[in-house]
Amino acid sequence: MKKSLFDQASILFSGLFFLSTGYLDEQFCQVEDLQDEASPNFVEEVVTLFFKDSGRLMSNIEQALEKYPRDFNRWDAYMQQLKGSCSSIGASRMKNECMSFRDSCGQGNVEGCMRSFQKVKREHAVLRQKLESYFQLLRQAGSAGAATRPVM
Amino acid sequence: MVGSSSAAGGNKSKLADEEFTPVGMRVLLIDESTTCLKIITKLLLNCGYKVTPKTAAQNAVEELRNNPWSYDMVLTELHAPAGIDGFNLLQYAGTDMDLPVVVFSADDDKRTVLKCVNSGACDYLVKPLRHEELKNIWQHVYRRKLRNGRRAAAAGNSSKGEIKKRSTWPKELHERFVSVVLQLGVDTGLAN
Repeated sequence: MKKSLFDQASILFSGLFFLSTGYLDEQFCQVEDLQDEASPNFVEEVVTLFFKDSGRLMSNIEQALEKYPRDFNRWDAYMQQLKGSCSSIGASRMKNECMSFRDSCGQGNVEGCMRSFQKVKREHAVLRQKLESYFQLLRQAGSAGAATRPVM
Repeated sequence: MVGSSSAAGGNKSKLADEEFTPVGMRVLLIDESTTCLKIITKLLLNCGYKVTPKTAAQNAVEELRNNPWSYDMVLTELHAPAGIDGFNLLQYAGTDMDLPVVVFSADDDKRTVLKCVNSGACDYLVKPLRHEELKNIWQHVYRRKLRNGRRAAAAGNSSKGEIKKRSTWPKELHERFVSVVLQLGVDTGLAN
């Protein structure tokens, strides 16, 4: 599928914006690579889904931490799902915190789980902020070149 | 298109080569994460496959039950804390229905891989999935067709590509058998 010049440029741009800081890894580039004329808003759609998914999963975990004390198997199972979503978009810092959480589950370490979960929440919030800024910038740049984008 | 050079099998496999194409292969895809589902669906579409995405293995089992001849393969995430997970789906689709099932997961533990292969998975892929891996999964469908073609030839049956059960049971009887097995297997009070 053909890719507009704009899409190609934004892939380069996200490299600078994200990859160098480690918030997102190469997998995010793979997702961007899927954006094409058939799916012109693919990246933003995926990111939107991710935040919906992860928000839900995180509130499940939050509830489970309270409602099912020391139920490490349950906590781990939920966190595994969250980790899976993180890796699908390349959210590497958030994914690493998910992995610490799972390590703590494996060790039966409640304190460790609680601490890791706070970190997961923090990374989630930071990532959301960064991606929102990123899309805003793309939109501004895009409206400048809107006239030249291929019409669907 | 494949140019195989099988020695035994001769004419039968040459015929299969010419008729078989991965384009339009019908994949039933299961992943609880809507994020992953969207990404993998796009990857599969880019390979030229037809995709039916499902978020729950339970829905996939129903889908297979209602449309047993509509899919060429099943591609499923292994873990699903709620409801039926990949192992149960493997049993139903892989064993009972003889559909090729490819399993994927973020888990790359050797024991998990072994368990999957022992439970009948054709292949095990580690997430995140890549175009390079998915573009070759049609080989499992092709292999299955080849094997069934050879079996049918050996049994003196002229129809190709039918699963072994079908060559001895009429379709209706097979479907009834399958739904009984499902009944026994699925109705075990699994929480959804």
